[in-house]
Amino acid sequence: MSMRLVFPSSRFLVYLIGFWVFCSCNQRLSPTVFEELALVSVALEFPTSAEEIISCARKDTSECRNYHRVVRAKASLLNQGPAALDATVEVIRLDCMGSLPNRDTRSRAWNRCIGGLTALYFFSSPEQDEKVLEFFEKNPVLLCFAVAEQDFAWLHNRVHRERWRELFDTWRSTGGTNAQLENPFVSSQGKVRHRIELL
Amino acid sequence: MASGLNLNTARSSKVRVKKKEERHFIILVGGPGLYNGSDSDHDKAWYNYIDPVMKAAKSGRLALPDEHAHWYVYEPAYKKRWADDVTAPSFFERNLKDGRLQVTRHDHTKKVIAEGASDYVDYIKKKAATYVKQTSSKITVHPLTFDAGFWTELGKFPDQSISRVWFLGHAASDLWLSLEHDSDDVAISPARHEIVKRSDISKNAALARKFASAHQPSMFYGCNTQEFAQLWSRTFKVAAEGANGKVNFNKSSLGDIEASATYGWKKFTP
Repeated sequence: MSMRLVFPSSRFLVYLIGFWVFCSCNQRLSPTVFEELALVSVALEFPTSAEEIISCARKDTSECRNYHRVVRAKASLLNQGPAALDATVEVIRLDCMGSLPNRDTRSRAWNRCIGGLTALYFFSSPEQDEKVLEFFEKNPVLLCFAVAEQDFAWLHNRVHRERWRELFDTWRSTGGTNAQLENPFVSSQGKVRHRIELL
Repeated sequence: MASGLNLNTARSSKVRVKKKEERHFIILVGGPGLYNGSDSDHDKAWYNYIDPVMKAAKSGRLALPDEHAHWYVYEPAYKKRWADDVTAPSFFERNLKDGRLQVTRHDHTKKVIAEGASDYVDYIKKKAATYVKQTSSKITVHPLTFDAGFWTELGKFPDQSISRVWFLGHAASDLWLSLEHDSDDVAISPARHEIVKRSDISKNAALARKFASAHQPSMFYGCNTQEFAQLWSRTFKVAAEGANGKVNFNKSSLGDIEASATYGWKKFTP
């Protein structure tokens, strides 16, 4: 009798946990997550040195406010599972493309664009890199925009580095980008210390 | 014997004159963002970044005798701030943080007008002119309109003539000539054209020839400027200094600003 009571309860718990995981993975991602991620690049008060980041990881004071916002945004994004990369690419497609004509105007769309580009750092497995590469092969103007905008950390953790290098060189040789821009996928690059990888 | 002595003296004074050829001391002054009551940490006062320069100039200790100081003031930020401050309400507001009454933007603009200036940039120009008269120093104020202008301006100086470059303003690895706020009142970067990027240093490496061999350290007074200073030093082969962490401009002197760097003031040699 007692076994029959316990057994259904356990199954119920398993179903409940499964339902919770399903729900949390499929929770609709708010676009503001990308605005929050953009704080890494655009916020005046975001810790830049390893010392500051370590310090902020241990405390939740006002000067670490932006750090904790980014940490929460990263968790929300990666909690989406495989859908996270799709959402990131979609934000880049929509908001970066939309921001291009008005690059000198700061807007929420521009922040989402920067946040989306920042988030690419989290997607560096061979399969994910393939997907990101395919996206930029179709939208090389956005690759140019990303490289010109800033030295994003994701430019330096690509698996298919050679293909990235070729894509950028090809685009540059066709006059599609500013000839002054250095190819960030050349192995000697990546001297700048980034911040997203320290989170 | 006496004649020989005179000749030697004359020769050495001639050498001294040659050594004292005018050198150019470049000071890039970033602008404030608009006053934002919800952001109590930034830009309560419009003059944060020019005040330390003006104080040093007033005392005659800003530049060396053979230096001509050039103040490159980022005009759009000061014009925008003036237009905003001049419409501010004319009452005192209480600073809840420390309980002291703070002079409002209204009083800042009133003071500028009382000095006979038409706006903040005009006030800076008038003050500089006064310091030139009082201290017999050489100061030229150049209103700067966009970041590319800064590199272009450096390129206009004769080779071997720049003694040092200073920056005062907002910074986050790159030098920000202004400041914006997002929808949550968080202080964020200005538009691309209002940023002197760290990556622009390498693109302008040819400017290394502009620096005099007898130079002073280039100083970057802003938050987290150490990486900028390090690359500056390496690229232009000059000494440079910057902050690791935040700095506080609410200080009486440039030395105090250096001392306020959270993780120390960093010095780099080529």
